[in-house]
Amino acid sequence: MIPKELAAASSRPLVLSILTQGESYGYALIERVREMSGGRIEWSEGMLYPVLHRLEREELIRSRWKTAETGRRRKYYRLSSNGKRSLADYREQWFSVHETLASLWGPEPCQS
Amino acid sequence: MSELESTGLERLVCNWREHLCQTDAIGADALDELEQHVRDAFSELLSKGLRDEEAFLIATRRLGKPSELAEEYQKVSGSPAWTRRVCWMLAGCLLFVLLSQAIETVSWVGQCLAMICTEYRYLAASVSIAITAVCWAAVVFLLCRHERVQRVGHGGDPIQRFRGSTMALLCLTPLLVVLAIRLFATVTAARLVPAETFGESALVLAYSNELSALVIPTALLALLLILRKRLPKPIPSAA
Repeated sequence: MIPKELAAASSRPLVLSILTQGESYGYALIERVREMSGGRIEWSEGMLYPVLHRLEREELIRSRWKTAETGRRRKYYRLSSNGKRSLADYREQWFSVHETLASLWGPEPCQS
Repeated sequence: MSELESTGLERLVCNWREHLCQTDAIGADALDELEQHVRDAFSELLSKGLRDEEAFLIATRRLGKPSELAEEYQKVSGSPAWTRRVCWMLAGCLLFVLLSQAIETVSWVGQCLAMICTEYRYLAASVSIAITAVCWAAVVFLLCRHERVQRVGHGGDPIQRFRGSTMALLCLTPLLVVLAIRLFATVTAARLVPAETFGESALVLAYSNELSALVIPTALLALLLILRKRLPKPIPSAA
């Protein structure tokens, strides 16, 4: 199980990366993360929305409300151009960390 | 009809939303978003074969406790809830001042008319007091009626009512003390200062008092309302 701090740190790059694949909304984002991580990354759902709001405040993502046939409205998020640049930075940072660790640990999982 | 409506759990959703609303940290749009999330989660859990109440409980629990959610939203919004409350309280105080000025004006007009129509000076004073009392009674009555309409469905809580009357009494006491002091000050000034000087000063003082009592609160209220929209958003801290 991924510890909380790691889940929090990876939340922003994860959200931005998923949004490159198209517009999405909160619940779908959580499901997508769960699906792509094979269940290893489980976000506490309440954590996601403040992250989304913070990203929107920093203008990395944009939102709009769409009304479904039921009459209920749902907030959809999409990546902004600032977000794309920010994602490129995150990618670089995470790959640096990943490459350093991979060179220390080697390609095989640790045999303990 | 949504699945929630069909299972009669709309009331639960409303109560849950009410709890979140009371934390005073989550805006209406954010509440809509969280509510939609709960509905989505509920539908999914239902489709997995859970019972209605179970599905709702799990859906809301996975989202997190209202206090935790409020804390997280607070961190994003930047300004703590208490500053917003203080601003609203200040606006309320200023509105009260304006209201009392309006009522004073009405009673002053009545007083002037009474002074013009009759030489019996106690009548003018009585008219002024009567008009003020009637106006305030009307305001209080309207407020109570509004409050009662709002609280229909929650029932009158006897403890709340008791607290309310105690508070009213506690507020009335300093008011009476202030009234007594004011009366004493006026009478003392009237006795010590020569009549003509008192009369002229009273007129000038009345002008300045009315100006300050009306203009300054109005200006402050206007400033507060303007700044409320124009306050720059605080720079978000690094996530």
